[in-house]
Amino acid sequence: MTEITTKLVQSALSGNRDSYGILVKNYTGFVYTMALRMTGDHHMAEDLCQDTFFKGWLKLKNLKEPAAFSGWIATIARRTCLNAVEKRSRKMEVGEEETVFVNLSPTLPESYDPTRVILEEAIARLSLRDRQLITLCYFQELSSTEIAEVMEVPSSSIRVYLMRARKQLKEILKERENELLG
Amino acid sequence: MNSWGNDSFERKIDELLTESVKPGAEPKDFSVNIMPTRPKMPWVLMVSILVGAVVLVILGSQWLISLNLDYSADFSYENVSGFISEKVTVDLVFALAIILGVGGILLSFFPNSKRVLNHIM
Repeated sequence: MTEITTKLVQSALSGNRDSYGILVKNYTGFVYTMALRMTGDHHMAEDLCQDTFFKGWLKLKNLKEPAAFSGWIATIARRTCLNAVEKRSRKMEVGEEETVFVNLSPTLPESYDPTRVILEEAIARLSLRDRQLITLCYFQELSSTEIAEVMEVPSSSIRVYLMRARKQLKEILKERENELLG
Repeated sequence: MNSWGNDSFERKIDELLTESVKPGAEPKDFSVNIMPTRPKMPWVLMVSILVGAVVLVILGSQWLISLNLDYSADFSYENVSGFISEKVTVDLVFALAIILGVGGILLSFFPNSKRVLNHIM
């Protein structure tokens, strides 16, 4: 996937919009899920996904290493979502804004199957940092160094944070184990 | 790093988390539209358009000077409005307004009308 991505990025850098279109198609799932987990709102996630790829297209010439596209687009997605989350929390009442960072009540797309709904509802109960981390760590194209760069935390902390987040997620999902395995 | 699957439950969570960030994990009816780009205008074309416009302005002004017109009299309010009312009837103005109105309404029903407008702007 990385080799194909590199070629597509090189082609997009020379102005080929179709190549960027393929990249968008390949990364929409990841960027959308990241936005959904950070905001808890699927309409907002769609808009932020759109924004991320539009910003990506405008800033593509700044990408020095085509092979680093995954981390680069993940950084744009994360910052775009963080800005939106902070902007939204400023509009909320005192106390209410905490729900943005922990214990989200997500609105999810109707097309999601029941297991995906269970998973997203469980992830929404994690902290904002853990929600981002879980999403980035399961995106196969990113190394732990890249994840640390995207998250702006020391590389050595990633494994510890991830272990805690997984443990917590497992505890939350334990209540619905039968539904997931059934 | 992205798997911890010690038992079937953990493996299932791993599997679901991996699937949730793959291509196609977005809702079925959602797709990203990249904005249309403005047409490219190479500098040679831009320079030739500019030179052409300057030449036209010079020729046009020379032609207007050669006519020796009395501008204040020829373009007086009475002259201009008289000329327009000769050529344009009320029916024609109404017909144009109806055509523009109907055209605008029809255009607003096209799904990409906003995009086309943005592209033109």
